[in-house]
Amino acid sequence: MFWTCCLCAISGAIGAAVVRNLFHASLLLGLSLVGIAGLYLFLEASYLACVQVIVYVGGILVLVMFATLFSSDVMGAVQRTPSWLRVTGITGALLASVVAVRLAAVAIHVAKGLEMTRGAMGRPDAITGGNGTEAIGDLLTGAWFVPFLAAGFLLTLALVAAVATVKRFRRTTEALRG
Amino acid sequence: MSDLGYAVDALAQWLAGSGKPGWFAVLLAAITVWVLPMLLVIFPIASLGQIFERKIAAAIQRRVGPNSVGLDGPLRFAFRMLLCFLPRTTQDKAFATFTNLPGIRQFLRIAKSLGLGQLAADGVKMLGKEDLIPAGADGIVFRLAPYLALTGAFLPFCVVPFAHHLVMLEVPVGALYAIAASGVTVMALKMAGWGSGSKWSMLGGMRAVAQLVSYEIPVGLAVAGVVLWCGTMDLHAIVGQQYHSGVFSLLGWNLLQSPFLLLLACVLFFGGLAECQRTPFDMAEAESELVSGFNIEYSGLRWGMFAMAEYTEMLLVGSLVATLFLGGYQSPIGEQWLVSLPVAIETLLHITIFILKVLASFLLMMWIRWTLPRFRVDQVMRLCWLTLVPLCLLSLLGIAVTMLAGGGAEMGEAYGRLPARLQPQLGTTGHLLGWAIPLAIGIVVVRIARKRHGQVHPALQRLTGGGA
Repeated sequence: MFWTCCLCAISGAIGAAVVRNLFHASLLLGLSLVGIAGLYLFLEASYLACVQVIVYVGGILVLVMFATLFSSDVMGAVQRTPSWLRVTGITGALLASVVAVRLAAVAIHVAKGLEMTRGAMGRPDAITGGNGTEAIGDLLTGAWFVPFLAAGFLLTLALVAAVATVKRFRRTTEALRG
Repeated sequence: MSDLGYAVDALAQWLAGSGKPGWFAVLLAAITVWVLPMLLVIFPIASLGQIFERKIAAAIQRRVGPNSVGLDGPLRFAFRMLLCFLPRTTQDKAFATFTNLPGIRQFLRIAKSLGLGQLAADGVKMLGKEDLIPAGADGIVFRLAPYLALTGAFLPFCVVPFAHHLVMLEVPVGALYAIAASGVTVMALKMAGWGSGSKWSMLGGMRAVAQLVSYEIPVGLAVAGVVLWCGTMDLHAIVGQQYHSGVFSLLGWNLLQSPFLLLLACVLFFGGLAECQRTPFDMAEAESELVSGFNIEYSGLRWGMFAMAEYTEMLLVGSLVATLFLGGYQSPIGEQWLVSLPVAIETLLHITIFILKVLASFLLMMWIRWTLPRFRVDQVMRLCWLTLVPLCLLSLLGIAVTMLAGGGAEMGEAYGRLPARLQPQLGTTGHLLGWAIPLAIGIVVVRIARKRHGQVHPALQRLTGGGA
């Protein structure tokens, strides 16, 4: 299981950087994110894993896909990329593989640590036991209450501001149309 | 202990007759507890959903519905298959002997008049269809999408408690996990819409994703309200929280605790309806404008998987509503005697009650589908962002105020093998006040708003019985 998650995360990341079809790239990014969520499970952070899936896969990735789909020539199987972009793409892919190798090293390190603490099983105890969720709740409403509130306030502000911007934009376009 | 969940451990120990079960006992127990409920409960109901829906639609529209395909054909086929090494006359003779058994003929006649064989006929037809992949489609994405849809529909059931001793996973983040796992469906619909290489399916996919992403917010907030009330995200602990040791054990259900929780239950139901793309929220599959939506290019088994995923998701919404608000698998009356029955009987009764509760939601969804017309795209979005989300936020606030005013949490009752937990203790007067005050405030606010503005939000107007 652990190695499957690693494989998902790394191959998804490399694929997202290398593949030339934008939609495929975003799907592979999703695979990578799910793989990382799996790694969180192995680190006994099931709450973080769920939030990772909800926020990154369910939210941000969908936004990325919307952007992809609304961009021009979506239905074309292969996106034509200019040569300079391809060069940056390859550089990016190389950088990403460096990151991926580093990630693999960390993963192996973590795996070794897990083996040390609970024998060679490497089984996700976080799925069945552990009580990190209540600890997180206590921290968020206790020691980290003000930062938590500030983050929430900021996000709400951003939401309201976005609605306001859209309204103003709509008003100006309507005014332009007459 | 093998840490595969309470049910697996207990069953494995019982099978092995010792505290240290071997791997075979553990495997057997894991299959029994994890796979059997899926195969025996969810899968059949989801596949029967089709015939259910046709009969109910017919009843609502005063038609008869499927009424002439019986089970004779499938049974004869089964006999032929089982006795394939014997001559045909012997096969027919065996079938005739079987039909002459007492009760079988009557059963077959009833099955025929109900059209139960229609399901088998449809299934064979579906399997026999050509597996088409359009020329412009993106092969891998197109092929993967149905599997992913089915995965997203089945995954959340891992944390749903079917009975007191039959829970696949008792995770501390159960509710969150259910939301996260059902999010996989978004990906599947997007892949189906894009991978088909057709403008219609693309539009359908876009609509579906926009709708799913929006409705995840009210659904998530509704679940958050229950989590706030119960102080835990573990779905089984939430069920245990709703235990009330009295003759009328339904008094402990979350639905009856506060008007805000009732509101959240409605939001969860309608949000869930939107998440399964059912009428009136099925503009992603609007056949009159999009031909069929994201699944337009799919045929045969792949289309069947999408249909299966839809019915499974309906069951999921039903079981979430039941678990979070209707006391899960608990009986409405006399739960305290039910839990103390022997494990096997108690489990059977609990599963039956749970299925009945889920089926109630299932029927309600079908009733809605065959009664209401489809919403327009902007109406769906408006309902989500301007009605459901503010209602949810208001309810969250209301629940928090109720809990504060109620004087905080005390230790509740232990339920079966679940330990007692902290839960809000309002008392009888507190409960009555908790219902009366919000309702009174609501009525006053609506009155004032009507007097001042002349008109209020149409939804509120209809709720309060005002004219159009």
